[in-house]
Amino acid sequence: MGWYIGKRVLQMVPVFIGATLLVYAMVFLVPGDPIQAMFGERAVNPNVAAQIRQQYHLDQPFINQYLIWLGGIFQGDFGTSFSGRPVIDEIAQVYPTTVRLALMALVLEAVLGVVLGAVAGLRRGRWFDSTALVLSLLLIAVPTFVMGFLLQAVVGVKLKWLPVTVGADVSLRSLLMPAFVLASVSIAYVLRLTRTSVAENAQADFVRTARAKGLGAGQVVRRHILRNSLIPVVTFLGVDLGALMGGAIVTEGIFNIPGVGNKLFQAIIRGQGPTVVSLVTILVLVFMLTSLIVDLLYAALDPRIRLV
Amino acid sequence: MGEPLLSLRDLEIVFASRQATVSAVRGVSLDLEAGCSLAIVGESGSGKSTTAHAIINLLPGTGQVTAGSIKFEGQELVGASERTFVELRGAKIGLVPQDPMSNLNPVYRIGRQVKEALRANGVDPKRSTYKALTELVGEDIPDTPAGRLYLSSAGREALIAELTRRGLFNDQVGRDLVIGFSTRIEVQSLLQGLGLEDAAQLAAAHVDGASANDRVAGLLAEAGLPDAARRARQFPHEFSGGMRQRVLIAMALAARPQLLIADEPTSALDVTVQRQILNHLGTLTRELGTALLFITHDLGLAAERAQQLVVMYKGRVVEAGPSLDILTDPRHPYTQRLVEAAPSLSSRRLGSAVAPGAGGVITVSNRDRADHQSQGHQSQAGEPAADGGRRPLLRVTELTKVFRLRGARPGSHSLFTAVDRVSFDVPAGTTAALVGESGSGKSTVANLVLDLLEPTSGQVEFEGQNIARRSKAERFAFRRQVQPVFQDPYGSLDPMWSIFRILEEPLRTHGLGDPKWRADRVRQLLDRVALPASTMRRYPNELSGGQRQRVALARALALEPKLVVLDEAVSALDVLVQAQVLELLAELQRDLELTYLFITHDLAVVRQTADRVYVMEQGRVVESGAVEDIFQHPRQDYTRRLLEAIPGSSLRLGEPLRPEP
Repeated sequence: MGWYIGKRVLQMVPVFIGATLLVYAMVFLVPGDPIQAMFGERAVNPNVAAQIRQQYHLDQPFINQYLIWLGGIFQGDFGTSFSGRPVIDEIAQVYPTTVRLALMALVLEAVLGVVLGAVAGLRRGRWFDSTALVLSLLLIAVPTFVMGFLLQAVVGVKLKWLPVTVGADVSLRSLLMPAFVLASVSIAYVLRLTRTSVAENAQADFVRTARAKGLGAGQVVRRHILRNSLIPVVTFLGVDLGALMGGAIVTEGIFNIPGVGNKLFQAIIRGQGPTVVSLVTILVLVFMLTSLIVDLLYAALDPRIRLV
Repeated sequence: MGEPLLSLRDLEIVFASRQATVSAVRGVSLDLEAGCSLAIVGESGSGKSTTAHAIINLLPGTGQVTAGSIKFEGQELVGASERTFVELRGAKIGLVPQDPMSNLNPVYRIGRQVKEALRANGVDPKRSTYKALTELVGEDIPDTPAGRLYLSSAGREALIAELTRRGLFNDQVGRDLVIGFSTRIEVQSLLQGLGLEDAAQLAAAHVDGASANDRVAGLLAEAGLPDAARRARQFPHEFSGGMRQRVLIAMALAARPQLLIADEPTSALDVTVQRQILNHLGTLTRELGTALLFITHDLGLAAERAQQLVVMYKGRVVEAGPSLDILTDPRHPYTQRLVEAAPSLSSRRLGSAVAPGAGGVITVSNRDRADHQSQGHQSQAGEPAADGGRRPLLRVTELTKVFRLRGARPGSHSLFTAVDRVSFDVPAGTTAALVGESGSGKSTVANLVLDLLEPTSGQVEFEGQNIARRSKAERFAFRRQVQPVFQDPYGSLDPMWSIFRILEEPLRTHGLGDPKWRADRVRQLLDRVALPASTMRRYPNELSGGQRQRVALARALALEPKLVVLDEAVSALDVLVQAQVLELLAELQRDLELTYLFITHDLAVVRQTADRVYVMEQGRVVESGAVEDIFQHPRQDYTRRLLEAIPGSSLRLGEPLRPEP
């Protein structure tokens, strides 16, 4: 176990360097002058521009810029954004909101997906199952922004149950609708995954043995069918957490949420290299960490798995 | 005796699908008295398992009882509520299922799964519900509720400490004090046996009732699992098949049911393990007075293990009665075929007992057997020693295979010698059999001969050439000469491929003929293995196990090989199908002059097919010789054990049919 975690952490090093280098290169290669972008339509004083270039090491070759940035990271310094604030401050400002949104979405997809999926799986071929399958297909097929606008119009504007957009108020109540929109596709996947897994396990020999032992129907479902069926679902949920955090750009845009997605979008448009790279770096770390946790969880759920 | 414990009357069970309803059980009636044993015998699809599952309402899928009655202790179970069945299952009717590999939940520890059986049925783990066996205990110790308390782990330690202090403790006493199994009365009688004056006081002080965990260990020990307390904390995947079956038996007997349904409890196990398990099951059910309903496809096994037999064929009971009557005088043609085909019954004693019943009809299988024996003698005469001019087709010399097993830490490993200096020759046109338990290395030898594994040392010579030192082209040509047939006809055929594609692939791979020629060849091959040409348009899942194995055989024959390696090729098949496939193999050998290397754990099959036998144990060949020699004069204990393990081998006419303890 200790060996395994050590090995995985070591594997993170090349992934980390590769991912940041790639992102850095892409930001560098994007056409357009970031200094010009900072000043908008106004003319730039060449002296000032040169000074800024020097300040942000933009006059140096790409690889030097990257190494300077990387050196800073290892000293806990994420650099300074073009607006003059430390990048770390910007990160601290947007990440909590996104983490909260992603966790809410995760809880929604876990609860709704597993419960509906389990019921459908136990009643395979009956009306509940068929309805759940059609609805899940619908969730997968409808694009996020359509779902977002639709809910905004119905739940927000018409029924006035929940606020239409989020803005500065990032309370649980105002994040509920965006969290559902963000989770909608995943709910459908979790539902289908759980359903298949439950239906398969319900036919398993050990389930029949459990019944032959004299266990009641409820005990059989809880202890033997659900527990075993959740193994693949947990794997999916873990990997999905990273996707929920990184993939909230559209949702955050629709609901005007001041999160990572919004920030990243603006930083890309304005060519703010250091900000983009730092935001993405943290996303990469989150991805690697969740996948490690999933693998450890997997071994804990399924004793047959040996981590080597 | 009044009413039977279990009584089925005119039972009808159907499986309904959207297209059609299939009648699986048609008008089955049987009676089982309390404490007695009855076996239902039949091939797969005969409805025997369906009947058993209907008793506890665990029919799979769309199965439904449509008519008739199932009475247990006088209570009608057809149409009873699920609640009734939940109360009945485990508590009054236990089930030992067929496949030990898939019947334990992989994610829970063994102990927890056994404990579940105790909890679900409200069993008090502290004390036994049975009267102590008086013959064991003697009349002088009265049976009281306190006397039935089990020994706990803490109590055992305290007692051992006390006995050690008095210098009376030894290993035998240690073995007799079983946690969660030995009762106060038994401990008292044990202590009296040691000559202790204060035996009653000591037993009363230290035997004070087991915890649920202790009782679980006791149940597992009772089912014959060594080191049960530690084993209970392990997971199913750390257990062998035989050990898992013991766990399932412990689970089924946890609540002391009146009836135990054993559904092919050992079909998936090695013969020697099978024998141990069945002996144990027999002893336990007899001691506990549990009635046993035994489901099997092996008539020999059934006759050996049960007092009464019910033979089922296509959902109907074709014959029923006392085991020996049916065995010696089968009336229904189907039963007669079963008796003939049962490989377990081809042992000497029964062979002679059956012959008059068969009415002098020489069956194909008997003729084959005779052929084989004579063939065996011929080949013996034709062996290199006697005839220096004839080379063996296959010669294996000092073959060794060592596997590196990865350890818990990176870099660490241990070595495992799967095959240890094995040597043998197979003359062309004969059959050699490698026999042994699973783990004896016989399948590894097969893989080495097939050039699917590389030997660590030693060599395999085919037609005088070492198969290791060859060019790529020679290797490719070798593949045409040597073909395998594997055990599992379900796993060895690609389910997405049609039979035609499966049979045509080897031809295409080796660039033989044009499409039209290949289609003709596929038709020939199917004809060769007695399948209709229309089979080629079907898919593996549309065929029965026996048909699939025929297809596997046809695939192996497609390239006209010289050597066919049959790795447990008939072990997964029902007796009748097995007999047919064995006949086919013999016929093909005669017609095509094939050489077989037969890998099996079933000595009964060996006797019908092989010329020479090599008995393997822990990677080594421990005994070899001509078939009759090995069967009549086994020199090694191991070989003797294998021979004894053949079901039916212990059957003696005129003796009461009870499993030997």
